[in-house]
Amino acid sequence: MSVYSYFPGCSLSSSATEYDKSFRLVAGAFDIGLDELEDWNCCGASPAPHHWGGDLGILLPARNLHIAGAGHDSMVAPCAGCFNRLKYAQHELSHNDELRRRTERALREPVRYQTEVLNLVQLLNREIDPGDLAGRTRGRLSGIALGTYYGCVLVRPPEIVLYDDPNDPVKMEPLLKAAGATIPHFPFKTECCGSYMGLARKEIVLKASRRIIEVALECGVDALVTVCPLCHQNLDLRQQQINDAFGTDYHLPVLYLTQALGLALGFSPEELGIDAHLSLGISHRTSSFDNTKKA
Amino acid sequence: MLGVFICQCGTNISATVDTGAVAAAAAGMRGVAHAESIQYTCSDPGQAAIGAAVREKRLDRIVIAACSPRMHEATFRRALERAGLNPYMMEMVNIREQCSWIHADTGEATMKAVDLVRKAVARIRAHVPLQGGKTAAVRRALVIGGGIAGIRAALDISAAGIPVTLVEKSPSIGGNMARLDKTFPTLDCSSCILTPLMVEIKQHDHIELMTNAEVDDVRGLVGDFQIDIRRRSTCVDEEKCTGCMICQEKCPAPAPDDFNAGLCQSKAISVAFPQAVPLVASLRKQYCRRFNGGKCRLCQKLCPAGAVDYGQEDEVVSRSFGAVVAATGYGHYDWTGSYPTFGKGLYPDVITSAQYERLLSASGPTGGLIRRPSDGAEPRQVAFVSCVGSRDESAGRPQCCSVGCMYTAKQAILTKEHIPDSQSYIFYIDMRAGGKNYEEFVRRAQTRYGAIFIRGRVGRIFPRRGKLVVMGTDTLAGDQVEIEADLVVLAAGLTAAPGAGELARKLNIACDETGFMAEEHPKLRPVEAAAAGVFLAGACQGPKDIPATVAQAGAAAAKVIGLLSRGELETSPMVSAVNPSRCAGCFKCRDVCPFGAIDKDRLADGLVTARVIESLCRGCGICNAACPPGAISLNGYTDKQLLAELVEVLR
Repeated sequence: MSVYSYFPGCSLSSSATEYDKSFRLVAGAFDIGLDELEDWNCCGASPAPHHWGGDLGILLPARNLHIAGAGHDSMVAPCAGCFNRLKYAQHELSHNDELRRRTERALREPVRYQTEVLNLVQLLNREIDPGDLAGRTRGRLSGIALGTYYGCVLVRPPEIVLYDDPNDPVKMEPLLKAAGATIPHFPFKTECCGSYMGLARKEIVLKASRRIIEVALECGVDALVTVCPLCHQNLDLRQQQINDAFGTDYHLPVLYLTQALGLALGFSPEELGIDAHLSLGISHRTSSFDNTKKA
Repeated sequence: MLGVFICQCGTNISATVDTGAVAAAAAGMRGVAHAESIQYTCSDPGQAAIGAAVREKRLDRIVIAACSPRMHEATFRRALERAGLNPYMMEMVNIREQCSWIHADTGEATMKAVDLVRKAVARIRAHVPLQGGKTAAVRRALVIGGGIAGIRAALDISAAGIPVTLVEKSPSIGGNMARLDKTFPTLDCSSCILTPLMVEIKQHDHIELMTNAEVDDVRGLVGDFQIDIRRRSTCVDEEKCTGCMICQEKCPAPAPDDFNAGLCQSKAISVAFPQAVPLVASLRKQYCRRFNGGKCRLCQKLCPAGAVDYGQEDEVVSRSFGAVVAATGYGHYDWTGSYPTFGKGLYPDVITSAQYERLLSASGPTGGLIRRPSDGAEPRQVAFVSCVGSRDESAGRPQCCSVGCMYTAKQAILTKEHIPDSQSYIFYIDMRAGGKNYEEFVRRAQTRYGAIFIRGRVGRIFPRRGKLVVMGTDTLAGDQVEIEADLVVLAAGLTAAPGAGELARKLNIACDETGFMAEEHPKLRPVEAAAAGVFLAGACQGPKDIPATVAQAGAAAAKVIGLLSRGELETSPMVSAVNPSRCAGCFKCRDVCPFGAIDKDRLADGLVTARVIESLCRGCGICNAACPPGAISLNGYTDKQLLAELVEVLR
């Protein structure tokens, strides 16, 4: 059994507990050990570091890296935002000596920042054999078209995250295909959801996320799959706001990758926390996901 | 008596090298009777100063420390000749490219310049006068590529009475220009101005046309290239075929229509296009049923001229040429790999400008009606995207295609003329309309034809309700824009023609970092390639429009005519020579010679020694290094001279 340090970040321990829940279920099913990082703090992606400026955007993730450095070889950060900040900090610490010295003054010891940082897709692709997955899911997702939505910070900036093609990422596909799902062409897989503008300029988020849902439906997508809690929030939580603002009537389920795989493995929507999703509350497709278990 | 001249090259050299100090140091070197620093040695007064010093000081050999010999060696050789000296009694020292331009410290650069001059002074003491020979030049030129550049060059060369062989890879001449509908900025019909020239090529007494042909092998050098041309088997006897196209009508095997940029299908046996020259069919074996295990022999049975011959084989024709013009044109950038956000080629109504030309053309697959590929509907909103694979560092292509702005404006105008109630949108970075009457043409597209120009890049193209949404930025308004279009036309960049790199290697000429063939000097030798006797015409040298292509083809033709008109060429005396009394007859020299310039010579006493074929020797010196007894030496680069240089360098 391989064991990874697990950095849940704020989302997976609050607004996206279903992501945490489904991740632990899927990890358990494949014997992936998760060891939650002790005394972790903000990854640096929250608005505070951005607004206060200075080194906080690096110092916060650097402390997490430093703690992880004393533990397992690799750390998984399922939230795309956390993954991005941790990679960013690693990049800056290895390229900017002055910044590294300031970080070490703050930590009062030499910083350990070399721990391998993995995003969720990376971890699952490493640990799950598609053939094994296919055997265990028995095509429960067959006939369901999943739109893979990667968002921005999982794959950008490419020279820092060093993951997948920033304009045409594809790494979610092997697992979902193995689980029986079809992956239609979805040109908005990296289009901006509006990100944190939801707090200050909600209309920007509604406009941007609306377009993603609109194009997904145009492409015949039954549900979107993401690994980013903020994208999920904008696409799922705000779907009713989008309907209210534009007079649309969207009911597009938005799933975390671990929820989609969890369904394929036979866990119930309740076990995976899918019942917490607002878009499903208004969805006529809810029943189709209930059916997946029986299939 | 030795003279040394140190060139200041304005400030190119003198800003970094203390040329006065170098001259002073040279004056103290053994054998130096005269040393001076001159502002521009290559200029008229500079050359006059050399002449004056030769006369006054009775100099018999000269060292010139200036730029690269590639720049001005020929200039100074002529200056020596005018001053009454043997032109080879001169040695150039490069203190510009290899000294002043690459060093910052004046003290060190000056020291290096002095060392380089000392080296040359040591070497030139052993110089002996050399005499260049003359060799007959073959009065026939090879033109490679039958587009407008090759056609123009062939016609211009043959007009001077020099016979031309024109080799074209595809089944017809005409090239890219034959595929265009109308041409900017005059909107005259491309075919109407091109096809008469194509016919002239076919009918010309002094032009031998070979289609379906490629250069296989190149030997020899300027004045006498021996070139093998491979004529690919087309299974059709060109002499018999009348171009009636019955075979094409009845052929059951579909094949891609290259001429129509893949918009429609052709047949395995076909005539390239109705105006093809020569108007003959050719068979593509990879698509033919008979060549893929089938029994079909329909074309052979039906051909009224009996021209189909399945047993026809490739034929290699060898010819001698005095000069070669490369006119291989350009290729189209394949955007699908680098622009996944434009749909990777999944949307049938996202096409390239080259394909749109075929939709506009009366001889195209739609007979000149604009019909979008997906459903054959006439588009109302057409979006043009400039600079796809041009000026885009993220795609690894920083270069400008130099014609995209103009042909996009042209296509917008033609769209309006075809469909009066249509609306064109052009996403552009800058409108580059630098040619004569070009800016006015672009203005006309805006004002009279109502095309809407949006300054900004396109980020994404996606389908929505049967239309294609083109999403981009308007950098002038600072806003995001979405255009719902029925058809999207991408101005894909231009690349070097497929196979251009391989041909360049055969011709021993260079390509630049973008894959286009490199000219010898960007300003002063724009049509000469790196190998003597090889010239460049048209877009093989870099993207260019028709007027520039035709102008360059004319220039290349003039160079060929100038080279071959006298019937003989001067040869360099700097070739290898064998001392037969030392030669052991081991022929290591023949094994290493890249040019096949070593022959066997049987002396009167029966001994077999090596002999240099001077017309083939290029003076590379490899045989000198390989010769165990040191029997071969290179004129102007004898062991004695090289050792004298070495001693000075190591001193």
